[in-house]
Amino acid sequence: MSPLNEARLAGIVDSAMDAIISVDKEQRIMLFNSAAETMFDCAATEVLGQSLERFLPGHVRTHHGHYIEEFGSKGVTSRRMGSLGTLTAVRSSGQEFPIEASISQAQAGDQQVFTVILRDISERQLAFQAIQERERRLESVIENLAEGLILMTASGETLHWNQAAKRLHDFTDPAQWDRQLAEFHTVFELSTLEGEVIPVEQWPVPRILAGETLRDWVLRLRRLDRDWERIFSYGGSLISDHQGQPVALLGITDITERHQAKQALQDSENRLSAVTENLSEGLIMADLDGRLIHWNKAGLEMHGYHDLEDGLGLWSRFATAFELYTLDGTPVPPEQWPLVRVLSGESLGALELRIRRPDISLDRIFQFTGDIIVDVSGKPLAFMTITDVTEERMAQNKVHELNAELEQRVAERTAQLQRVNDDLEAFSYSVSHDLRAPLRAIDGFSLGLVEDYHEQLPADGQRRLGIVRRSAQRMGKLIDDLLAFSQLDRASLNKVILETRSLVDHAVNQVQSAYEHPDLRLEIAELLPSYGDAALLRQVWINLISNAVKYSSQRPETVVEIGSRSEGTEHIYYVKDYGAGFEMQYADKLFGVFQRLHRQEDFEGTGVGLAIVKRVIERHQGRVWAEAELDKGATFYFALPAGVAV
Amino acid sequence: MTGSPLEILLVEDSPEDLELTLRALRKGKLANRIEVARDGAEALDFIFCQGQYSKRRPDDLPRLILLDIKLPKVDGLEVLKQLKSHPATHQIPVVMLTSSQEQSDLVESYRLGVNSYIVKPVNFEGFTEAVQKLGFYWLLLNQAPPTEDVL
Repeated sequence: MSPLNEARLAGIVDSAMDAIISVDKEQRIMLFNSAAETMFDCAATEVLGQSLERFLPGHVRTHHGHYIEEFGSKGVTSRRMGSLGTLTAVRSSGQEFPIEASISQAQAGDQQVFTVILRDISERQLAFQAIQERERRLESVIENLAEGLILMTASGETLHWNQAAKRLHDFTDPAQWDRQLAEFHTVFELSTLEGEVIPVEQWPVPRILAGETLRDWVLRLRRLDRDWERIFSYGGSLISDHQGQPVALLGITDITERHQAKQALQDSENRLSAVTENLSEGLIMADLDGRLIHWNKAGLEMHGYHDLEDGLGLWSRFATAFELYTLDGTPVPPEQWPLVRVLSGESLGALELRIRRPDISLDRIFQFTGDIIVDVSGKPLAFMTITDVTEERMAQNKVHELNAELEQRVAERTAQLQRVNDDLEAFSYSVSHDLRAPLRAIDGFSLGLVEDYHEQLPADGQRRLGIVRRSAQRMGKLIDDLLAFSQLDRASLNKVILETRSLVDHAVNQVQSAYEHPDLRLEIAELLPSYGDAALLRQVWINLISNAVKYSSQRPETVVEIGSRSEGTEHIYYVKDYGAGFEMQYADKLFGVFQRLHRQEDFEGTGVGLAIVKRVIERHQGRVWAEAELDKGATFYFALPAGVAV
Repeated sequence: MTGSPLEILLVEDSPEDLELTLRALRKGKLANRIEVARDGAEALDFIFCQGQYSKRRPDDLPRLILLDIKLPKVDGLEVLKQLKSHPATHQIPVVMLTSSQEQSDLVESYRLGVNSYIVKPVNFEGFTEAVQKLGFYWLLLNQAPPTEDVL
């Protein structure tokens, strides 16, 4: 090399930005330029002839010489180093730092010289790391976004799906990712919320790639292969990658829940609205300034309107169309109208007023109920429900009228009955008084005739007068019995618990004194107490026992059995005889007034006794019946409610 | 008839009943002196010495009054009421001798202070017996309160 060349080379070497170090085969430093001095922070004078080792990191020191030797033996003049990893060097301070290095070899005489050109890449690496860090952060942000993010190239190549995008599409199996992506268009279907299917070429990505910017495009995404659907809001635009290539950026927000909530709210509002619109009650809402902000359908119709066209939003307009009256006809001034009262803070409950609208002859009775309520925004509103009670009131009036009429008729009927009753009483009074007097006269005067004119009257005449007397007496008896029977219903019942045996004993005494029957044999079993009117039940026993005795009169001995038993809620009593009896086919006639089953000459009687028994027992809510056999005897039963526990 | 003291005032409108009652009383030897009034008004006139009886001696009062209830003009209950509310007559025993079996008549009579209530039987023997018994009881057996002039 010429000195000029050498000087020029030295200049280049010294002014070079990279560190240039030459070593011999033994790694002794032969050249150490100023850039190397700066890089390694030591003067060339300090290192020339020294081993390169001090600048090598520990782990390569042992092999470095070997590498160089190997490089030297290959006959290659230059090579970029570090193909096996990042190279590092060590400053004189011991600090390790990343480098880029290339090595070349040259033969200087017999000496092989290796020259290494080194560049400190610490800063570059830091910058790179910073970029990497930023990217990692960005990626982390992207991956952790709740929104899905998809990047696609113009050629339709998928650049990126963030985690959310995968999750939103229910892609949960990373192993299946390629397959899932490949079948994306066949598995999914996009449609509008109204159900219109979006063709694939109109899907968000193609539209973005066509240059459109999407904002909040709400679509329903559905899987065709299984029951899965979501509602997404799509947004996105075309961006450029670092090479300026267009890339579609698509953001996806899952608004299914929000949409459902909104839908639910909408549904609920619709339902509420349907309810209020279909209510038969009128609904009116007004704000405190008197603006009628809502009328439901019934509210409008009951006031004779069909829609809100008539300027009904304004209270003052409304007020001129109508007249209100209390139910007794007093006009109600508009400042006292229900809505005004509610607006002034009064709580109205079922206020009834008559409302008239002269222009359409509307005349009804409304019931107003109202209060102040607070809407969701906290604004007070007057809320009023109106019920048309016209028919109800008219029906009520009608009922009142009918009731009054009914009462009138009942009163008339009662008066009529009272008159009839009075007549009957007068009749029976007159029967008891006036009918008996002539009979007494017939009897008395017949007897007087027999007594006073005994001599002149032949036997047959006396016999006939006897018949006259007996007939009169019999009629007297009939009248007495009939009166007793007719008085049964008039006597009030004084029900008490009675010892039945004493009733029976009393009756037996009466009967015995009347019939003077010496052969009466009574068999009285233990008797249940009875609940009833003492006088009336005593009469029942008298009638039954006297019947038993009477119809046994043709027997040599009169046996009467009396007893009782308890059955269900009743006490059943019986009187049994072994007398004439009767045929059961006539049993239904037994208890009728004046009904008799025997001839007068066989057994005397008026046919009232059993009728009295029946009437008394029925007044006690009891039953009476008989069993008999002709010529064998009869048993008469009566049942009384057991009454209170005894 | 004015000589002996007055025994019975019989108030009866029916001539048949009147005759039968008198016959029954006669049979029982109770017919010493009997006065008859044919309706309630006459009975009151007789007892209180007014109208056609205004000249009668007021102290000549019957020892027993047999009174029918159903009477023309003034009925038996009204007569009874006046007798029992008047100090001069309220001590005279009054026996209702009537055809009425009405509970209301019975109750009202006792409320007004009647001394006995007899329902006339249709059977004349029974009637006679009843009349004789009551005459015997009230005129012979029963001890009357002392009269005012004795006091």
